[in-house]
Amino acid sequence: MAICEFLIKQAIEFDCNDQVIAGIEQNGVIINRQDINFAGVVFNATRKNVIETFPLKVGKKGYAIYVPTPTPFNNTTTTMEKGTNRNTFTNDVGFIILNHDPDVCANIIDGLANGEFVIVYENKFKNLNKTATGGDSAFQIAGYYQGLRAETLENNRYSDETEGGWSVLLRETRSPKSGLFLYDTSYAVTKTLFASLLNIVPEPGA
Amino acid sequence: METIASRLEEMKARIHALSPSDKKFIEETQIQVLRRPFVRTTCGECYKDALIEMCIYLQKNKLMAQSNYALVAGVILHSADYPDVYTNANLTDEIAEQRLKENPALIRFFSHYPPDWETRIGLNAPEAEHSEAEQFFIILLSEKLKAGATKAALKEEYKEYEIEGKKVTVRALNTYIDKAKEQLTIPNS
Repeated sequence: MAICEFLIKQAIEFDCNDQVIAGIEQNGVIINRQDINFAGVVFNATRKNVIETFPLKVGKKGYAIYVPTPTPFNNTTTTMEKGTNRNTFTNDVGFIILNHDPDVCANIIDGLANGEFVIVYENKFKNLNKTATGGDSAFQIAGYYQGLRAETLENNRYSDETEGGWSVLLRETRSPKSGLFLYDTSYAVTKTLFASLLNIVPEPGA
Repeated sequence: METIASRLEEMKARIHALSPSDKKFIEETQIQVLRRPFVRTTCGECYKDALIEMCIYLQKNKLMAQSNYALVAGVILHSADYPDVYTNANLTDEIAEQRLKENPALIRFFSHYPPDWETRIGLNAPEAEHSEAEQFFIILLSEKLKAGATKAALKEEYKEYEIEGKKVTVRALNTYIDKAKEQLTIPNS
């Protein structure tokens, strides 16, 4: 059995050519964690926090999250959590649902309240100029290890932030990794892979 | 398909005043026409753009390209050897079968595939026909049977027979005699 080494392996530097920027893009994907085909997930051969293939089970698909606000996915954070034997990470993903009707409540909120989810979102910082693996900062996965569960689900009819919609905060605790990314070859290829999570295959003969 | 095309053309006439039901129709139809889901953006023109793109596509392509193969969500066909990226929007039978031929294990990433996919890629190839030497032997046996020889007599006579340097096994000899009988349609003896 291998002995885990907890070591720093690269210099802590600042890339003047591709400076890190804050923010997340408006379009993400939320997946019911039970719909993931974990046996088919393919990690990068050398970088074990990079997923290259992220298949869902046959007949399943992810659902788009569209947050048309100045700060989409606000309150999305990763925080170290001290543990008894080792420290882990808590991932929070926050977003606003600018809608409120019976379908939203039945098909989204009620499910979010008690389910387990994985969210893939796109950072505004793409890291496109990175050597060999340009674009690998773009797409990040939360909830893969433990599942994201509802921490906050609130509807305030007078909220300026939600305008009468819903405020959502989903949380994954005890993730062993500080970051898990979706990346295959380039930003363009990965963006196609990201879009394929919403795959809706027409019925034969449609 | 004609219904979809005609409705899209009708919507084009009022493209600057699309109703909520029009927008919903565009969202639901794009996956059928362009084989990719509709994704809202912030540009404010995404419904009009999608409508025009679908109308143009249907004008140029009378029938949608339908593949017998479809990938599950979260999978694209792409590798270092094949830099082109294939999704359900552009996947063809030829591409799918090419990749499956090289790696049949990829079938686990397909949600739809024809039931005879293994035959299509040559995994279940039909058994090879008899060689020329075997066919000659079968003809010889049929001539013997035609002349009145019995199966038992032939088995005794040719128990040491060789084809292409290899001794014919008992099982193989039985098979050859049965084939010879089929050619003559003689009852079992």
